[in-house]
Amino acid sequence: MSEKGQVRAGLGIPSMVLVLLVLCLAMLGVLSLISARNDAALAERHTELTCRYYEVATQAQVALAALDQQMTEAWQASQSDEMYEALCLDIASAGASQVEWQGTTAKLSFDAGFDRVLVVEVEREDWNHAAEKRFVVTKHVLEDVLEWEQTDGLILMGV
Amino acid sequence: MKQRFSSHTTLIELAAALLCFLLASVTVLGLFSKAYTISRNGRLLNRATIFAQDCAEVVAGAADLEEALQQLGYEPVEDGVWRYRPDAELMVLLRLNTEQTEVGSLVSGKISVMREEEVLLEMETARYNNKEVIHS
Repeated sequence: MSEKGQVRAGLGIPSMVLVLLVLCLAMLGVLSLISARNDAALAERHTELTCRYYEVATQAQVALAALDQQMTEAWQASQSDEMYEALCLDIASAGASQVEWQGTTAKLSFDAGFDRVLVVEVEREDWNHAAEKRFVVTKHVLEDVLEWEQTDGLILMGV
Repeated sequence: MKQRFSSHTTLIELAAALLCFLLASVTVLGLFSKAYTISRNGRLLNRATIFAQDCAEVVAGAADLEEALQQLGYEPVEDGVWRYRPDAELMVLLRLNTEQTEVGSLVSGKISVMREEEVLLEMETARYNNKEVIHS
């Protein structure tokens, strides 16, 4: 009780400590929120990248099935290795992909998004063996299409 | 006149300070709560992705698909549908479809990872089998 009958409590320094404490906790809360949001964004990106990869891998398998069917028809229609090769070279697309022939190798590319391409290469078997197996998959790789560019911004030197 | 710093206040000021402290505490707790929820959802999505990826790899690469799925913990629900419950929260559903062609078979799968009724993610997978390769 003060001299004038007012109820008073000593709150100067404790109030300041309390305000500082609340500010610190608020700051920690904001930092936690930012960190959690970044982690969640990273998780979503990882999920999107993974799903996209398996989507194009599925497209690749469908394209291989279509290519096998087309090559079987070419084998059935041909009488010699030369004829079979010529008919195979006429196969320009399989599934959702363009087929690029380089000799006995066929290359199929699928856009996997995020500057990536799934490249599948198959090696054609010759006419004598085509009855059992038309091709062998020799490459199934996810490649970056983004090229590195030299920048003058940051030079790291060894110590 | 001698001026002195007073650290005393009235009851009204005390009540106001307590109210501000309570409001600030609620705000801080709200921030932490939201951060926890977002973080938990992110972790759940990561786990869902891992389970879906495991399943997709099995469909794409296992020699004996059914045995591989059973080893992974999947159980058949109905024809072409498999279910896996890694814990009480998540459930993975795999729907398989086989298309026979003249020279082979195309096995395609649709993977759904769910939390209760909510679908967290869906993934596709497939494998083309040449008949001769399978029988060899």
